[in-house]
Amino acid sequence: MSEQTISVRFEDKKTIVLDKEINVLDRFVAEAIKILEKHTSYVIVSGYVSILFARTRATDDVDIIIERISKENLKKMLKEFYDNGYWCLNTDDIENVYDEFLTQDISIRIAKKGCTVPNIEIKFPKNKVDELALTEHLTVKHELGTFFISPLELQISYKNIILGSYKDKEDALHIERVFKGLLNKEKIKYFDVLLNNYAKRN
Amino acid sequence: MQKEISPQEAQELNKKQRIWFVNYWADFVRNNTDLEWSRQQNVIIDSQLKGVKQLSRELYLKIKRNKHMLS
Repeated sequence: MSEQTISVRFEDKKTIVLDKEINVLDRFVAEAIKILEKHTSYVIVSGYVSILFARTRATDDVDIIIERISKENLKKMLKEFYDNGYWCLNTDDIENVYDEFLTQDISIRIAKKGCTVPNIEIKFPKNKVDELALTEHLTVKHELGTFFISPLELQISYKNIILGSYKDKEDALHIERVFKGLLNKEKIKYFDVLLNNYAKRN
Repeated sequence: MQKEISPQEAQELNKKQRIWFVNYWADFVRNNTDLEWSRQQNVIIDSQLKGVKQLSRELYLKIKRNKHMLS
């Protein structure tokens, strides 16, 4: 692939190297991920993925899917967030986050204590699409470390078919255009079918 | 005298302009270094987040729930 014509570089098929200037949002995500990744595997999905690759908008939250960890491991993770100056926007009752939120398919939000924005929105995988994002993730390397993000083809399909707002379609278009020639069109078609079927069933 | 356009036409024009910019900017990203595009992007992101008014947890979650219900 002719990566020399574009700024975004693939180190290998599943790793992208970014040599960008860091912003407030990147720093927030990197610091939160440093805690999160000690306790669970994860994948960043939705708006921040397009922002990471230059989309000109901010976001107040960063969506993250984590594996279905145990109640005990979740409590350890939340305790570490609290010990490091974060809080949960939904509740301070760490004991019951697992039963009252995550296992009920309700996401939780973690922000710096006293703040609501920006925050990371954490959820368990709800369906095959979420599981695929976790298992098929891409790696992004930059100055602050390594992030795991959703496959770009899945991002594009999800934004076009499931989310579908103007903002989401523009995000999808942005990713398609930046990564033109580097995306797997068959994968996009596969995800389009998968997500259309999922949308019909729900 | 400027021709008046309907709200629908204005919306369509706005959409076309937005798409034009998405494509223009994506091409800029492709053809410039990460440092160059990120410096420009960060003017927007840093200013939006540094200037943000912090809402209470309750109000923020209420707004997010209502936004989800409306979409």
